[in-house]
Amino acid sequence: MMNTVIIWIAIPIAISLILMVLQRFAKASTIIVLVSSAVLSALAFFMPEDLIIKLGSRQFIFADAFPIFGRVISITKANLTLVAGLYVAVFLWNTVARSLKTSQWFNALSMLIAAMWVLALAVQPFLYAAVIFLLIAILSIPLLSPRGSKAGPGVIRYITFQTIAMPMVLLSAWMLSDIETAPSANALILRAAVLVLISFAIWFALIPVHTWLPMVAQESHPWTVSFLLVLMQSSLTIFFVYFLEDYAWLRNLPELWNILRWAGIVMIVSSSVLLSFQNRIRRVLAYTYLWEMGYALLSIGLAQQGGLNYLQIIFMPRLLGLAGFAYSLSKLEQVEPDFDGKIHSMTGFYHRYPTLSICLVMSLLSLAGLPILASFPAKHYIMNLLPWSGYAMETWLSIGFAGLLIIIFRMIFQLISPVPDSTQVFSMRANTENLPIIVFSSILLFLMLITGLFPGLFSELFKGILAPFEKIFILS
Amino acid sequence: MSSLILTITVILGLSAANINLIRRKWLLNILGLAIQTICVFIVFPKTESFIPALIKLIVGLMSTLILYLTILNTGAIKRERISLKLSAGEIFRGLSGIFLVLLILIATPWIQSEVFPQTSTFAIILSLGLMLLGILQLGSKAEPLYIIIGLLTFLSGFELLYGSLEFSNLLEALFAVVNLLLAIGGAYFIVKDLEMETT
Repeated sequence: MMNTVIIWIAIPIAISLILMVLQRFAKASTIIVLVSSAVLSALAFFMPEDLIIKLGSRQFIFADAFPIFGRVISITKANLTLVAGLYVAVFLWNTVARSLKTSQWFNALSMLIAAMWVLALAVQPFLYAAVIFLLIAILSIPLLSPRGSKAGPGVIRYITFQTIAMPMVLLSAWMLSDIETAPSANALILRAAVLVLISFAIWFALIPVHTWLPMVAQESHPWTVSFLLVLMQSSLTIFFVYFLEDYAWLRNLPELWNILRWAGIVMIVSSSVLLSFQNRIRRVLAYTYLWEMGYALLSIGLAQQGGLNYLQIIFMPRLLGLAGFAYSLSKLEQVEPDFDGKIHSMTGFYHRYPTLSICLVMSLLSLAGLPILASFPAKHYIMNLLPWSGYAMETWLSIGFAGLLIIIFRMIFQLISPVPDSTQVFSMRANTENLPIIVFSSILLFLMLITGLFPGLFSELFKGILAPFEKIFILS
Repeated sequence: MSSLILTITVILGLSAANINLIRRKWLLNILGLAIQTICVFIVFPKTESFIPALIKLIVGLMSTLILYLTILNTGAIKRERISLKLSAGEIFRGLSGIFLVLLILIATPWIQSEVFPQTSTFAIILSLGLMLLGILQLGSKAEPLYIIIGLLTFLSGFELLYGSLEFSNLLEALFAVVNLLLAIGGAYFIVKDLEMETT
């Protein structure tokens, strides 16, 4: 009998170990990682409910639990949509990783890190995932700080924060090991809840414990950072919902949902203000992540009103938006060696790199949730859930939009402005964008438009992300 | 085990962590890390089995060895004479460390009765001491080697505390992997920075 754990955790780990050996052979390792991630995601999407695949007269029965060291790792059908999404990200990011001159470990480690995220979501008791998050952070070191570059403080701070967050979750689990469902508000529960919420604040990189994120974004390759952030955001938000689902004492805390909503609003507004004053384009990636995290928190805070649906609708738009932004930024840095990463140095880029410039701006507009682009249905959905009276949340949310729009318009202004030096007029022509750049950017833009125009296309595909959660919807 | 041995072990472990916090002498720091590991092994509860404590000792010493051999083979950090004269920063860090340890000594009876009743006093003092000194080290130094030593100190303290509360084979295995990978990460940073300096 086959096992889901072996297929989506053990085999990817084995493949990544093989890829480590083959890291110098760029083409071979890229082909292996693309084929394997495509097969893993397709298998996860199309796995039948009963975990039995019938091929002619033969039946392949898949077990969904794997005992190890007295504990269990379990991947059920309910978990497979998220698993598929994670391997879709591995596939998408590996298609152009080598051409963007990322670390030569990218193929191997991207597969390994995705497998570790799956492991984190599958381990029982799921609190042990805290240690796996730390493992993921350590495994990211060669990607975020590749050889040939000096070790920056951001990566070290990232590891430090992850190390500090881990004990708090484990201690809170121990404190409440016997009272998982007791609806009480005694001191022990409050103590454990504070520990859990602080850990999540660190994992989510909530302000003010977000400092590592802009530093890492500034120091490391944008394509690598965006990959790690997509996996982190998608998995951590779902992991937080696991907590709320499993621990009645946590979700019954007085004012918890209101606190989550306001935490989301604060994140959106703060990151928006920081974005609007930003001069370094790499940091825009970090603050956009924080902005999006604010929306994720807001949607969890609105779980009782159906806000969790946002997490399934936003999965693909977020992936496309971050991929589009990181790809165009990485390519611009590659084709324009003199580009110092400052927004005011992008003057006239549109005239030389029209496709990349359009992709850069459209990705940000898509992430912002502008109509007909990918994130619009999700943002529209969450706006409709807000209590449009009394809370003033809508005012703050508008300010949150304004900040992101300011940075986008600043960027557009710089991109389309003519270069002041007339001697550079000769070079202002689109001749450095080769066919792969145009094709890949166009595919991303096309997908953003399709997702915006036909929101059901991908949200139907990812609706299973919420399958494991039942209790959280029936709160009174 | 007699309380005299345990008292000496706790004092030795906390002194080693405090020396790591104060001085930036790699040989001294590596030695301090090894002493910490041995002290954690002695204080680690052995009620269920001797093996978990032994695994922690082996993993801790292996991590120390990885860092030591990397420094030795790359010559990344030059040999320096150990002088007894302390700079103002070292005195400040030393006093901060001593203050933290005193704070833990004062708070231990309350922590033991309110939060960790099944944990021995020695384990609480050593574990919380290592964790707080580790955090202080993380906040006061920026070089990768010392940050990694700070992280290993913090983790060894936490593992001691958690080992006295709950035992899980899977968690122990994960901790072992984390410790070894952290040491390898530290070695990677040392080698990488050396490459940057030589190019």
